[in-house]
Amino acid sequence: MERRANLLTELQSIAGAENVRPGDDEFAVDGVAPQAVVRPATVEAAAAVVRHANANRLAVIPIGGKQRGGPGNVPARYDIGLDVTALSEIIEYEPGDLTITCGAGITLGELRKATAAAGQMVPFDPEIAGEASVGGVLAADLWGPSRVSLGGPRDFTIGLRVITGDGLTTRAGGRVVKNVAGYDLCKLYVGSLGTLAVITEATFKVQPVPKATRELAFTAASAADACGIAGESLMRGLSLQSAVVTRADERWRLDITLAGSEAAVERSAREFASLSGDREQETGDKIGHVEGGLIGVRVAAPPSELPALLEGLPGDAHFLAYPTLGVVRLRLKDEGELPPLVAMGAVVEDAPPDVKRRIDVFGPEPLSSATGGLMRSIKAQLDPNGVLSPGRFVGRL
Amino acid sequence: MPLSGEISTASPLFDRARARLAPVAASLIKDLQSAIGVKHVLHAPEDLLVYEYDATIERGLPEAVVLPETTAEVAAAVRVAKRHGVPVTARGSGTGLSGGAIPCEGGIVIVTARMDRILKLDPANRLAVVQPGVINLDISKAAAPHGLYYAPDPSSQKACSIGGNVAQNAGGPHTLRYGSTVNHVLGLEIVTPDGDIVTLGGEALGAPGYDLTGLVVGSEGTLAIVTAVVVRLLPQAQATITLLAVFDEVRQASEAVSAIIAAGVLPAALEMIDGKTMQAVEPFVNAGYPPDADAALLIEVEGLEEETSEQAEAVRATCEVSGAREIRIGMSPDEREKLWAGRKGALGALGRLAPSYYILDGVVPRTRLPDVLSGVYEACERYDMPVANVFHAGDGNLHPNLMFDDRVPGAAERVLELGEEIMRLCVDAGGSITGEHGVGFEKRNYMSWIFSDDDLAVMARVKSAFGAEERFNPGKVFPSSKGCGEVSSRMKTAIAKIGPDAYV
Ligand SMILES: Cc1cc2nc3c(=O)[nH]c(=O)nc-3n(C[C@H](O)[C@H](O)[C@H](O)COP(=O)(O)OP(=O)(O)OC[C@H]3O[C@@H](n4cnc5c(N)ncnc54)[C@H](O)[C@@H]3O)c2cc1C
Repeated sequence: MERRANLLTELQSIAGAENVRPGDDEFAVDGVAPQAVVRPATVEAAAAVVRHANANRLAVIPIGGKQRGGPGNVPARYDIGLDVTALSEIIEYEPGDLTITCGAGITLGELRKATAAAGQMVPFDPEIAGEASVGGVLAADLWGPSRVSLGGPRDFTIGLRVITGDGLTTRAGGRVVKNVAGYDLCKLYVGSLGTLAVITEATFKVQPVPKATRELAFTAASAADACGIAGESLMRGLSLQSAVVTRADERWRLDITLAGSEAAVERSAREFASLSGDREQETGDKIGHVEGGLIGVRVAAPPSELPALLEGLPGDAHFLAYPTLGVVRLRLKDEGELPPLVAMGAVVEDAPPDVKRRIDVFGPEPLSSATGGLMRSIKAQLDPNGVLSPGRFVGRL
Repeated sequence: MPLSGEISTASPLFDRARARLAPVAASLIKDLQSAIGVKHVLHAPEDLLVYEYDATIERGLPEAVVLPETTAEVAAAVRVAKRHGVPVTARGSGTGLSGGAIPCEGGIVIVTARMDRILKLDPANRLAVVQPGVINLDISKAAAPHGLYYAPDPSSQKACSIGGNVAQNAGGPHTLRYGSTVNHVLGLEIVTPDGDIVTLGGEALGAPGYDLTGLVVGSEGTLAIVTAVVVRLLPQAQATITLLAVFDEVRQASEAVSAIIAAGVLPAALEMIDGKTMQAVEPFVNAGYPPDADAALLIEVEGLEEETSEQAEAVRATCEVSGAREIRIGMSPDEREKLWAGRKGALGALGRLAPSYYILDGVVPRTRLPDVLSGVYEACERYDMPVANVFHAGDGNLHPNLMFDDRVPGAAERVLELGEEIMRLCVDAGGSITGEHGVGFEKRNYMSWIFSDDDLAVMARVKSAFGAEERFNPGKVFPSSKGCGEVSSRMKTAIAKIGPDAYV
């Protein structure tokens, strides 16, 4: 109790009394609540909080949109929730440059609104929830089916401002679309789950919003059939934004989204229809994500091996596959379904805390020793005292 | 000072080489020979001289050059180097434009030329696994029968190696739409400074862990030696249209660049050719450039027929509004090739105007292009240095070509000084010191213009995490006051190797 009281006053003197409060379940990560939550008003104050934590070996987890149960292992320790949502400004946006710089606390929804006004978009997958914060999406490297056409976060993040584990405020990359000066540390920070640095600011490449989009869906005879049409439409250069394969009651289904100019979408739709021959056209809502269940799991394979993988799934498996990317996302009803998938190299993308406590979400042996060794040294260099999100990452880094 | 061109064995350079080599332990050579075979270890001074330069201005002599054929041999050579405490510099085709492959502090140069096999071509998964010495264009040639190609197309693609591309994160005219090398590399096999062989990323997406592949791409041979690359292949576009828009003023052309983007068009390529370049090119290429125009834009749109014709029309209309006095449109491969001829023939033609030239590489936010370009012309005028600009305008990636005579004492130094001033202009406009050629040796001291001490310290820590310290490619990327051999100009010689249509 005494420790906690001290921590609050210490943080108050660093970040201002109004920005500090006792930790609670709202800021819990995988069921672990912090002692204190601080919402710094500036990057400098956030860095001071991290330096304080570093000096006192207190564990810090950056918190953005409070999306629960997502990727990562149960934190080994968690003292301070570092709420970055006050860092949510659009810092610079010049549509003509096709770049935007914003605070990491901004939500995708706000970012989408800002760019839409200029007919542009940061190409985060449209399926990612608007309440998610930019920092959180980057830290978790969240992507969806549109990755095949728009790329993943690492492809369009061109600059980051971050705070390292020992409290240095540093920049990686820059604000221009093409830049090869120095190591591209953005690649490391994106997808590091807050274990290397706290992301406070990001610069993205933006793109024009497609003038037209259209959704189509077809019934397919088999997984190979569904995946084959998707692959062929990609090879023909059709305006494919995303493709999703699902199965319901023994019926395979391919959902695609076309995006581009009116004429291109029109032509793609026609060609897609001829590609799919006399396969039945599906009506009803587009299938974008897979819901329900208890545990979310992702398995990756070269696209050519995906059909066999899908055919091998149990008849009642609840899943969604990205045929052109070679990824399948499954929702499991209980933990018992995990072992065979884990044997296939599955990564648990989300699960309730009690399940997470019993497993390593990245699999039993996520890293080869050589690659793991490099990752461990990088962690030790950027977060020497191991205060950033300890235990959450691959290999419990 | 030695000049570009041939070197006779009577050159004083050889005395310098011999003097340097004297202290080299014979045991280093012996160990390398037993690691990868006598035939593929070079140590005679006359053999080493070929490896002391790339396409830039600096030079430095290695103690030994090895030409391994396998990853295991690379690892063995690295372990020998470690044991003897000498640095290692990797070398692909030596077309680098920032001094990256020059062994500034001597040691061993590992040349990947013999590691030139395409290990796997997998059209079903749209990828290829290649050794680092494979020439960029050869990947697209191999993939072509399957309707696929490798998108990053540095203008040196007939000569440069994929290993060098990975090290530099090379770009090219089509980076605007398709991104740089890093966006097309799925995985790597590397040898670490300790001589360990490590696999990063791979053929399937989403391997858990930090993205070490993305980190090693662009690390300029300072973290690891790349021994195999998994590259993504793209389906060839169905239709391509090329436009050439001619302008009376540079400013009109550079404003048109932003206007095209603002119109919601993302061309595959958007290149600018200035008046000086057009005048130089025209007599040789007969591209039909008007002698009195100040600038032209070469614009390429790609995709489905319907989309390309719509985009071409939007580009045409935008250029017209921006004041283009003439717009030519190429639809057939022949017509398109003709429009590109002037762009591609630029360097060769410029080479005829002066004994040497020096190619700069800077980036600015696209909307700052008009001002920065004026600044470049103004600075060159002040230095009384002829300049021709031919570059990736859509990305804001400038390539001023400074033309000079390297036989005039002090000329190379003045070129470097002017180059520095132009880099300053880019940085002051919110840009970067390099868009595709890398920091290498040349720009390492400009790094502190765009990165703080803390930023650089974090990069240095990452380097330590690889155990790299100064063992791989020392003297590169990070600021340092150490020199690198001598200054001369090999740019022209190196570029000549690429052939008559070398262009940047
Ligand atoms: C006429 C001309 C036009 C050019 N146009 C472009 C262009 O449009 N876009 C562009 O980006 N560049 C361009 N360049 C620059 C150059 O071609 C590229 O940087 C290219 O990637 C260098 O490849 P290389 O094989 O010649 O590498 P080298 O010059 O041999 O080496 C370059 C760097 O890569 C390192 N390296 C090489 N191989 C490996 C390896 N296997 N593992 C680790 N490190 C390695 C070296 O140590 C060095 O630091 C041009 C050059 C010329 C001469």
